[in-house]
Amino acid sequence: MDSFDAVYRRHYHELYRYVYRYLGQAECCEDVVQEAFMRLYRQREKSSLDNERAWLYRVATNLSLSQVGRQKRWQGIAPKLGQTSESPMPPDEVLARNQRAETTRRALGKLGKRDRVLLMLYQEEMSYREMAEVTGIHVNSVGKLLSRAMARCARILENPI
Amino acid sequence: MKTCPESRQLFDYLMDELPLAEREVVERHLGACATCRAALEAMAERRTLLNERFEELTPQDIPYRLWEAPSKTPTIGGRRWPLIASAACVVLALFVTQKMGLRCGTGEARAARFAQYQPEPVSDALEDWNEKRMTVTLIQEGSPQATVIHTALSPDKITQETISIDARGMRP
Repeated sequence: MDSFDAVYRRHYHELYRYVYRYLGQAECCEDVVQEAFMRLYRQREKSSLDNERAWLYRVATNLSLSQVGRQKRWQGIAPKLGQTSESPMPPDEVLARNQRAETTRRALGKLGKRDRVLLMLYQEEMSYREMAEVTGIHVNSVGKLLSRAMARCARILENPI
Repeated sequence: MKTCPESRQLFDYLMDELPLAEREVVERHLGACATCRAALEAMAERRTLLNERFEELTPQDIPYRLWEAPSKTPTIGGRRWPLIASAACVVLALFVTQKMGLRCGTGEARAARFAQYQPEPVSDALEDWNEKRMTVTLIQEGSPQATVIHTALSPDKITQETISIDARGMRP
């Protein structure tokens, strides 16, 4: 079993990115990500896990869903993306990107929880098997459900109201 | 494959989730079926659109927070005690009972008396757990004096006060 520090370094960024896409707020993100790793730390003291990455994502997903539930509604406001020193963008491009991000978040808000989670996990380049481990959905159903989620989301994005 | 594959199979092919044997069959069919090629292309465009839109949700700067492992301290009564304070408690009890040659009672009576003097938290607030107090009264047979040891344990120190009291009328 890898050391906890190695696991933390390996998965921190991708988990943060996943939770950030879900919550869109840096403050909540850090708390959720740290809590997920804290639970993994405690879990390791009790027993070993077959797939720690999937376990982390499952915990982070549940924590994110709880956070959204506490907020009572899906946050339709996209985070303001600014320029970075590495890839400065013209202001009008930044504005356009922010607007598109906001539209994407609103589209995700119109999807059911399961669809949203599957799309988010797909973005993490997870296999069907890993998605099944995270969500509890049978692996033979993941493809069909993901396909439908993509189709619904694409329809909403192409016809924003 | 003479009949067109199901939509699910095409999707699994696109996602690279088909077993190798099925993949080869679908590939051969796609070579001969324009309808399925068009359906696959539509799925691929949809996937590209979503990939691009999700990419824009990605934070541009991800702050990295160093991992701080929680401190491992033994718990007594649900409260965390520093190891040294717990060990000091045991050493203190052994020293008092052995070096001073005092009898604290037998078996169950000893356990019952000790249970009476379980440390109690100063308050329930986690920030205020830093001091535990314990009082042990030791009675020596035949002696008119009893020894009372008040011990206060905190994370970084132990304070102890020993006094003698009139033991007449007291029973171990």
